[in-house]
Amino acid sequence: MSIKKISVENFTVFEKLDIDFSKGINVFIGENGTGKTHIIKLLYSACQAVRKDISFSHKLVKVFKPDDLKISRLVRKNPGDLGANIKVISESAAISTKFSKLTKKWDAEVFSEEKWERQLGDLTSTFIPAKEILSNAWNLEAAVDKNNVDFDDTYVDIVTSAKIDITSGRDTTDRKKYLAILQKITTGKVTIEKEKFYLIKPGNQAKIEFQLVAEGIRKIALLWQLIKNGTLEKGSILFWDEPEANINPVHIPVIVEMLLELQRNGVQIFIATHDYIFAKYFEVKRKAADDVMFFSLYESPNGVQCERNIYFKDIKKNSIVKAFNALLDEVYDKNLGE
Amino acid sequence: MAGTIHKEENQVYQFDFSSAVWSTDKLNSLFNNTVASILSDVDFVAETDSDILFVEYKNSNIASASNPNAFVPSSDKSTLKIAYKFYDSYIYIQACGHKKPYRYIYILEYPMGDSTTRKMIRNKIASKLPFQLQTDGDIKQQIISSFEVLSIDEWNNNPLYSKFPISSA
Repeated sequence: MSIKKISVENFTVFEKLDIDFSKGINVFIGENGTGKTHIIKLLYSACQAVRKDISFSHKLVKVFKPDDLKISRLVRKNPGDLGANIKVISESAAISTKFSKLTKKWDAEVFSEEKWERQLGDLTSTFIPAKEILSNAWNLEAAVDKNNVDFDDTYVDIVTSAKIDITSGRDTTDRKKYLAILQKITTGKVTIEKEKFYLIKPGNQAKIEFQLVAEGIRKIALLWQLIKNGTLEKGSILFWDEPEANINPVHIPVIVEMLLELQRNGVQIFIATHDYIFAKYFEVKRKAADDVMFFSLYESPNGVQCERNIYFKDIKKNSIVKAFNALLDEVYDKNLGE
Repeated sequence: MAGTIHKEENQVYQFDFSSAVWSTDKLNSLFNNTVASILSDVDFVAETDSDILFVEYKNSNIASASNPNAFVPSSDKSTLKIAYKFYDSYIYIQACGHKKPYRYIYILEYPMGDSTTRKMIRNKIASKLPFQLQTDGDIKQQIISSFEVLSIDEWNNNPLYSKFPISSA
């Protein structure tokens, strides 16, 4: 099960944009405000809507969290006051939604939701948000429900994803291999007790609450947990927003290798990143049979557009490379004594 | 104009210096025959309206490259070699009496290369070239005016070098 394409019209920063995806790893780059996170949140909302108890339009609102939960606030400001149109297409079905400035609350029109639920009902999808949240997991869902804190659904959902166990039986060889690699970095196993996450150290079995673990390590521990509990299996989809945040660069090649392995085992992955090292490692570590595609989102007079290339180095509008090159040029000029 | 079209050693690409004042690819054989190759040579030297260009070309992206991953252009060994090529070629070109500013261009193509890695390599090699040296008060003339590391595409689109296009042979 994979997502093939998205079509977006008049939604936040997008005027009209169609993007075809790879069934493997899709890496989004672009400056702040070019909608990288919005695209992956849209796709995530559609993936979650395969569940009968989740409505696509309600999920959009809970993931984007516009004021007063008004979906009309997500319509892009345009002179003709045209409404927003979103369509997400997979191999066997498509789901779409339409709403305008006049749409009440979160009641957008949704099309083909039943077929989408029927064809993709078994799909597991996970969104790892940019800020690490498991350390604040205790009672998060209840606090959000009571409106005591204002986290969007990606934060609530990841806590749930991390807690559940949907494995059947013992760890497969592949799973054991991944867990061993990640455990070398975290130096411990994840466990949950009374709704709180801990890291259990080998040897003395010391139990360390997540709040006391370094943020970068918590992220890798989360990946460990999602692999352990069966969330990232063949046919599932992973969305990861800014995976590089708080990670020691020395661990980035391990994470990239892990994601490539997951892709080889049938997980479709969408990543939004600002990091040269992260993006470049996909290029360096990929093998000929790996499916990796880069998408650069950039502003234009007709809203945000997308440049797509199988090679990071061949992307022309590359904001990451632009920033790194500017620094390297300054270093160079300084060394020349100018 | 008396420049020439030169083919590189693998015969895959050619460098069209026909609109240069003169050009040469003879340094390698000259150094082999006269100084037992203890001097290292750049592939091409050419005179333009404003400069003397020292051009070194390395390409492990071609189909016939025997082991492209063995070539590590950012390594200490590789970057030193590129620096030496300038110094050694400079002796000869200086002795020929060529007075225009000397620009050194390293044209580099390799599988993982991008503009950022080329700039990193540029910065590493530049620290070994005489930019800082020539600020010494006793030196009377500029030794090097610029150093760049460019892909074939970047060379062909550069306003200074596009008149001397690189194309398939």
